[in-house]
Amino acid sequence: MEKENITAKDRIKSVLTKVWKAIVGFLYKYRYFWKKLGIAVLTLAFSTIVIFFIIRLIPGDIVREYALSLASSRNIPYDEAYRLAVSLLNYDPEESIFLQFFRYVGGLFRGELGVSLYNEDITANLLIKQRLPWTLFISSVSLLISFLLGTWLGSLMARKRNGAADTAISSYIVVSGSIPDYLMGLLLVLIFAYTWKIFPSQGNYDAFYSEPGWNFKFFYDVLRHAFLPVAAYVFVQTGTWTLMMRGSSIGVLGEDYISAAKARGLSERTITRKYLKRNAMLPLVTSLAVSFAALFGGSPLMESIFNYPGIGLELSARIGLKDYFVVQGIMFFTSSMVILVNLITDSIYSLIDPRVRKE
Amino acid sequence: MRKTFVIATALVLLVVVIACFTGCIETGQSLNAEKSFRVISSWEKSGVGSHFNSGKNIGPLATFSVEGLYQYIRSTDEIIPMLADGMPVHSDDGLSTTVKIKEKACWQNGDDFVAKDVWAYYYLNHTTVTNYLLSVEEVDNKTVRFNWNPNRVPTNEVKDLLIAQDRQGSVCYTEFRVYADTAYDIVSRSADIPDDSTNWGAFNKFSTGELLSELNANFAAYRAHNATWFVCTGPFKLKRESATQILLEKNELHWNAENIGFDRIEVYSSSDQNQIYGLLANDQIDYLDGLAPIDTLNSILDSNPNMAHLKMYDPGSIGLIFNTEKVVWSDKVREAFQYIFDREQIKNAANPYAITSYYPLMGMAESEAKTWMTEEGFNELPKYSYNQAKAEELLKEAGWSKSGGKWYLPDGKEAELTLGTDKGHPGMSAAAIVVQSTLESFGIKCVIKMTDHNSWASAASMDNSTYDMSVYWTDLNMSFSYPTGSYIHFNSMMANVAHVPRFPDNYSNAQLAGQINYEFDGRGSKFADANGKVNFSTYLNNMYVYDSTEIKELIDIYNLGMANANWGIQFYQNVTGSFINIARIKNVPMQEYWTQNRNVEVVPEVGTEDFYEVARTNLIYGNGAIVTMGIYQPNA
Repeated sequence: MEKENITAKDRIKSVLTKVWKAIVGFLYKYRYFWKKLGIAVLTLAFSTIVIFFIIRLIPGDIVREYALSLASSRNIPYDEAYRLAVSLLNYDPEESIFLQFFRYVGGLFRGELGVSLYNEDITANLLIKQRLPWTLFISSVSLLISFLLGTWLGSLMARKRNGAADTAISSYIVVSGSIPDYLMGLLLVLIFAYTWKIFPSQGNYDAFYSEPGWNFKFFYDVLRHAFLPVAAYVFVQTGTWTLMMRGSSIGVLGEDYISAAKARGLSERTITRKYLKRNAMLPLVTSLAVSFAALFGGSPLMESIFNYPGIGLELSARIGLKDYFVVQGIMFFTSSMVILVNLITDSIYSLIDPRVRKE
Repeated sequence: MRKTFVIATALVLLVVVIACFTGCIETGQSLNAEKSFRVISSWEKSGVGSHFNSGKNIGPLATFSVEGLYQYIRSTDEIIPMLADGMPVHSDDGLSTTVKIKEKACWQNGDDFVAKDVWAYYYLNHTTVTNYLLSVEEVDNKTVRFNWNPNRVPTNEVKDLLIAQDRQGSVCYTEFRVYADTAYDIVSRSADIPDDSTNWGAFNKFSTGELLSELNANFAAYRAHNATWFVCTGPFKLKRESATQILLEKNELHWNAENIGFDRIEVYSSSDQNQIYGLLANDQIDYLDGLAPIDTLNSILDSNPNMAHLKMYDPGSIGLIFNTEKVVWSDKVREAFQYIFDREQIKNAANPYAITSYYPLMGMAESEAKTWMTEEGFNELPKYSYNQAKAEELLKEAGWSKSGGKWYLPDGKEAELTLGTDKGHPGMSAAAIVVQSTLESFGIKCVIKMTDHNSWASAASMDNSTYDMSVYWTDLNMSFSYPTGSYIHFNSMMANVAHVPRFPDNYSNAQLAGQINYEFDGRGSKFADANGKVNFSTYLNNMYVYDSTEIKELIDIYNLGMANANWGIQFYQNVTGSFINIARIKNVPMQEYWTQNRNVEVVPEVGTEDFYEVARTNLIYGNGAIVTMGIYQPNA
């Protein structure tokens, strides 16, 4: 009986030891990842604190500004507007900044990014849910188009160095690189929306004539409204991808396997498709992932030019309103996304290339 | 990869071709066949909520959907009955006012608009008028009575304006019953304010402690209430909203539906002023209130032959406010500064259509002062010309000295002043630049700091402010033209910038705590105290009770007192206006002018027919009354 007990105890001990070793082994094996995760968490914590306190450094009195806006819009005296502002605002200016901070962090743990000063129904979560899809729609479409176009042009430039195509594309890169994206946006609006009147100048769809839903009219309307912002982004972004692809392709063209492929008599088209593009694009994929992460913050300036209701436009509007809790919520979300995507990219990279882990 | 690229390119081309086709079809429409009125506004993009006081910005719904018993037009004080049937009737003793409600007045959900709704509005929303009331009572279903507090009965003219200021058509009793009844209960349980007290409170009650907490909690619950419809009575209903557009459609149940010509209001949004001007210039919106910088205005009118611009007085002046907290501003120096500037030049740079003022800051704009002061009082106001020689003389008397073209303070330091202003206001920023260049050429170093309004206001109001002076509104009335409005605004905004002395926050008289503590010469009137003085704050909240003769006497004391205190300089009385699409909209006033020149430069004189007609065109000043009354019609 005693022997059996000892055996059972030993077995349990042995199992526990194995589990412990497995955990330690797992932790050790992926120590690179845990280190990265720890840094990401620290970065996130640091950015949370910085965002919270920096927003509060913006000078201004929320109640007074809201009262002025109420007085102006309702044509009522300032004192009445001020009383009304105090009643309507979901904000206690007397609450200490540290109490606000702990309330904010507590909210983050519950998944609540922040409630608007102006109304409890307006939350950072709601605004992200409403606005982010529109930002991701135009920016990811334009990123994809500019990436495809850029890599194609880049490889073409590498293959036809000093040719007419190289000169033409180089000229385009110089022009697109020297025009700021917002100026390109303004030019497109002026030409296509105001002069030729073939695309709408602003908005994400025409609410006057189309009902949101799964219908062709709405779908077409969304595409039509997205055309100019996407075109502006593509025009400006393509040059960068082209240059990166050109540099990468030139490097690949000097590789032995390209010479070997040529020696084997493979067609230029096959060499380009199977050897050149695939290999030259590899380093660009990492940049693509990082660029994708940056999309989550939107582009306030471009979205403002096209009055496109994305997260960037919303963020700049909320900053204007000094809607602190919502602003810090949105900023926390965007910084989290950038940190998360970077973490994922780093991790994948380390899996693909073990040298990174060793370094 | 190649296939993807080809497919993507084909899709893009398809969209371009279809868009070109569609775009071409849409152009060429000039008149208003769809009977729409296209405007610009701003609103809460995540959703406008379901009622007026939800705390959300309801944007165009405030203009076209939420009505009151009456609508007053800011700047002219014209009162137009809306839900009310005729003007208020005042009892002979002045202690009650009866308002009949239109038989056809109803909510957008079809329920009758009744007296109980007005009752509920006031017990839930303690607006200015409730400080003068003892109660609001339902006489019958369509009659409501206001019972005034005998200790502070406003004049009949003011009673009308106070009632007209409110949006009674925003609280439907059946929707907000629970909150209205609770509010009434709390107010009833609160203590009466004694007759000899200087305290104020809605319905002469003073809610404190637990009752005040209950009242605030009840208001918060009312604010957060989500109705299934947008609670309002107005001529247009919310049909559809997106983040960038709102569509309002005609409310066929409205009491004036047969006279309202527009079937829909199409509302665009934009936070960018240049984008808004672009929409105007390209005939995409029909109306915009305000005045653009002169070059932009002309460019818009050149680009869009359907657009006209009308001008109207703004009950406010723009000028320079001295931060009197700074030792530099001795009496002599402030007086000298009145002579330094060519106000005509500043006006031309900031707003060429405005009216140049030669007065100091005096509590109200010139046109308002003419209306509210006695003739003798108005003539006594100090006027200053452009006279830099006089300014030099006064500065030297103040101990300043000039050497090598530069001015030096009495302590021998070079004179250097910091000027603040709101960069978002084109008039103010332009005026600030002229002020700076004038001072520099006069020999006083001047640094401009332009920021957004909120940042400027905070920095200018704080103790030990960076700003020595600011270009801002010197006098502004945001509500009806009764003088109290501009004094209240001065008390809340400009006095902080000028750093006018105040009673301490813990002052024994709670009503005066934190208020302006500055005494004017009482001019031997009955308002003067034993020392012959009148304190700014003594009559600030009581002016509504004085009749026309008394009020003029009081305004003389205030305006002359403020002018002599010399807290700032008026540069010009602002002129604002409206852009209106004269091709798509009929009955636009001043046709004889805009047929000659679409940039109508004439500012109608106070009291003329054009003065009233033009003020009504301003949708902000008139809250859309011009559409509701059926004056504006679509050119279908």
